[in-house]
Amino acid sequence: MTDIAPTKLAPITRDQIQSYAEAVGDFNPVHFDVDFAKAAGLPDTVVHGPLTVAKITDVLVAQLGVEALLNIDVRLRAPVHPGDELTVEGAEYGVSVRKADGTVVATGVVITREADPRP
Amino acid sequence: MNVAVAGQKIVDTEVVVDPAKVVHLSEALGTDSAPDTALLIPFFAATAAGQDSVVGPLGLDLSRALQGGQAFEWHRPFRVGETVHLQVVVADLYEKRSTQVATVLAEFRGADGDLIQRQRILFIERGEP
Repeated sequence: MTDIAPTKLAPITRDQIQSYAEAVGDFNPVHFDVDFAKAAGLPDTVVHGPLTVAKITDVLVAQLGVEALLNIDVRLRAPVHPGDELTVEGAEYGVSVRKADGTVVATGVVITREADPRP
Repeated sequence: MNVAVAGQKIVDTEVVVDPAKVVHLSEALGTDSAPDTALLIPFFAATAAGQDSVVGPLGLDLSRALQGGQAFEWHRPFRVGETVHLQVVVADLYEKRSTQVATVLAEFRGADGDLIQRQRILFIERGEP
């Protein structure tokens, strides 16, 4: 089990989504245009999947340190919308991320350098 | 998606770790540890970003595409201002019922060829309604 203290993240804001888009150059309207998102069957715009992965990585960096991290493998399981309250917590295989209503939005396998099984 | 790119290298280029982009990444995270984290999660990776380099060759329809997962293997953080060599390969692309799934691998190396990190990204494109 990854030794991660449960961490409640500040809700992702539309400004943060804008900053992420400017960093990566991803201005897909599904992240900005509510009408576009609704036409795609979503209730609101969605947070970039890699931003959710980045948020998970940031929790690991804060608690384990940059040098400790060797590998993460994140599966995105449900959309995250602006304002969603996410909690990152340790799981047997690594980390799990859930919304306030309990929906699991991501799970990740984490391998630290200390736990690296390779010789 | 464009099944013709399966198995092909779609990006082979050099990019600079732009300080302004790193700041944007930090701002997107908004935490005390964000400046460190921003140097692990490159802005020029094979995410659904970089529409000229990845979305274009893959032929992703952004109204139906999503990222299903992402994996990182880190060897060291990026250094602000350094030039890195990026290669992106479409490792797998298949259709299951009406959904197409692509696995894209990205590898980043420093100026002297040292491995900085590898990524594996899973793209999913739903069939047309």
